[in-house]
Amino acid sequence: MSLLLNNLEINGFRGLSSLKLEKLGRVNLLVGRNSSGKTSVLEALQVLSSQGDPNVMLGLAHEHEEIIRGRESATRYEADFLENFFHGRSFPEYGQGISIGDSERLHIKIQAIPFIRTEVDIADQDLEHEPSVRTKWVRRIISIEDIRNYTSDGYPVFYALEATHTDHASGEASKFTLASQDIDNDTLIMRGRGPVSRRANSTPFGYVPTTFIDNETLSSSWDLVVLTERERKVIDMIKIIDNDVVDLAFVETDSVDRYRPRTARRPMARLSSSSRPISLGSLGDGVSRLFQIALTIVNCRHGFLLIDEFENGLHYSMQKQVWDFIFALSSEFDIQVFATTHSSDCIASFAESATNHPELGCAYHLGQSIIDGKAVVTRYEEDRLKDLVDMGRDIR
Amino acid sequence: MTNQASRRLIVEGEQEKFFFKTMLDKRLGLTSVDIQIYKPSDLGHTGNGISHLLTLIPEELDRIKTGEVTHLAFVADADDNFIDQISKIRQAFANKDFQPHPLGCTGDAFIHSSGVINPVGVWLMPSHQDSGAIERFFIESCSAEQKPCLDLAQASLAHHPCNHIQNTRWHDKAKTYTWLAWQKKPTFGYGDMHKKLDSTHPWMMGLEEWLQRIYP
Repeated sequence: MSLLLNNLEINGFRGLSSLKLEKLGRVNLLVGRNSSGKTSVLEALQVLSSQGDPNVMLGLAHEHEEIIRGRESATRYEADFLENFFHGRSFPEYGQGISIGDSERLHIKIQAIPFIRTEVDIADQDLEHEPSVRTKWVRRIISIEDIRNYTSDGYPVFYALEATHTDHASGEASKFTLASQDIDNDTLIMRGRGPVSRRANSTPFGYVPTTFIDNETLSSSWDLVVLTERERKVIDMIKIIDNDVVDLAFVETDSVDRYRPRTARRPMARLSSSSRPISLGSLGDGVSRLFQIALTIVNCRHGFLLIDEFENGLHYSMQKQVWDFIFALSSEFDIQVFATTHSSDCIASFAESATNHPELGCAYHLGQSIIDGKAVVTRYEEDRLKDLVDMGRDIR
Repeated sequence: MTNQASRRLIVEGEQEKFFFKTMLDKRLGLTSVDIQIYKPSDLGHTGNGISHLLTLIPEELDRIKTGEVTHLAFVADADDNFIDQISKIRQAFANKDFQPHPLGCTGDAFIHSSGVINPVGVWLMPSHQDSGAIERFFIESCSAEQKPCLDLAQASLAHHPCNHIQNTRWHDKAKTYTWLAWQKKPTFGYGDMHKKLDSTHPWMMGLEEWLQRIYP
């Protein structure tokens, strides 16, 4: 099975002015110091996979607490949210924008189009219905250079995000509007929420964040695998940490919070050593983390699996087995995996597992050049990575 | 530049690491240099040291470009052909846009065309002029006090029946280890070797000066 991406090039997205990951593996580990762009790569892949779904972008903005209330106008607040995705946190010239993907498979380009509202006379036939109104607001696209002039003259400047998505494998290319600020009521119209329709043929992706995924999301994911062969895969993976687990289910339970009484579905486990169901959460953070990873993998067939800070909650002694599972399932489910880490134990366990799965694993060190601010990427094939780990070299 | 930056020296193996660690710490007072090895000789790998070094050079130059490493140098053995080895290394630097930079002393240094990165050093043992390895450096710069012991070690190996011992490189290794084994406190490590060397020997002075210029 071919990979979704052989190379990944990201331009103008978040802190990445320009980054290229060449000769990608099926399972890719991203290492590097803080602010090196590892998480931005995972975010860029979510934007690419979802074809720029604004709801995905809104979720990413929430994760970074970038949605700030209390601005003077909703227009400015919505623009802030969109602008943060562009390099330098500002909309670039039309034609530059965000570019994610490669020239052989999937690619998306996102550009910001600034516009103002301007009044125009309404034609006579409209006056028959609304005789008291003689003008209406319409959009007029302006250049980035003119934004300051219009702003200083008191005109509110609005933005629309336009995307061009190309699937080189199928030969399909499409251009569409992702989001646009409404000139009448000062709100953002987003594809999937407003009149702009959601793209149906986007690539599946599963994202495992650094924090725990909420039970509501997990239970929805569980419903997709229950009573299928994939359910067994999830349980087998959990057995890496707790071999006592026999079965899993989501059970509706009452909240213990007496001030906010509600029911919720929670993951429960049947243990071989116990006659009653046990809360999965009580088995420790490692089991919870593994459950999330496993459930995400089996639900993103033919897509991307994105894991931020792989090592979270996982004891180093278990990480090699978890990687073995991920390597095996990535081939079985035709998934391309991207994971980040800060942990030398994680790198060592990845290297060991990768050498047992030839030509599948690859590691990349990301950094930012002190010369020109561009990304500096060092690629390590599995054998090279193993050598460095065995020599005690720290490549984080 | 990140606030997690380090000064790094890359040497061939564990014994070289011991030698440079004590030399930098105790002789030159350069305690903040992180010494790492580049040849996985204990891991069952074959191949000469230079191939491992040529793989590592671009990886390490990426690190100094990101500011994760602020000062960087490589020490390798010239082995049988100094000219050939240094030519390969100079090409590896050129491939990453690093050009030769005069330091005003023996030893190579390379600087990035941007000019914003500190010079990166290269020293080929023994003298950055001659062919050989680190053991040749020890033998040539042996102190007067240690000379009788070294001469005795040399004499004992002169008629050694094993042919491989007579090969120059192996002979230097055998002589060095025999010399160390006959110390008052016998050892097989290069950790305290700097104490047995003549600090006024041109090779020793050259190496020290090069280290001090790379790690000011």
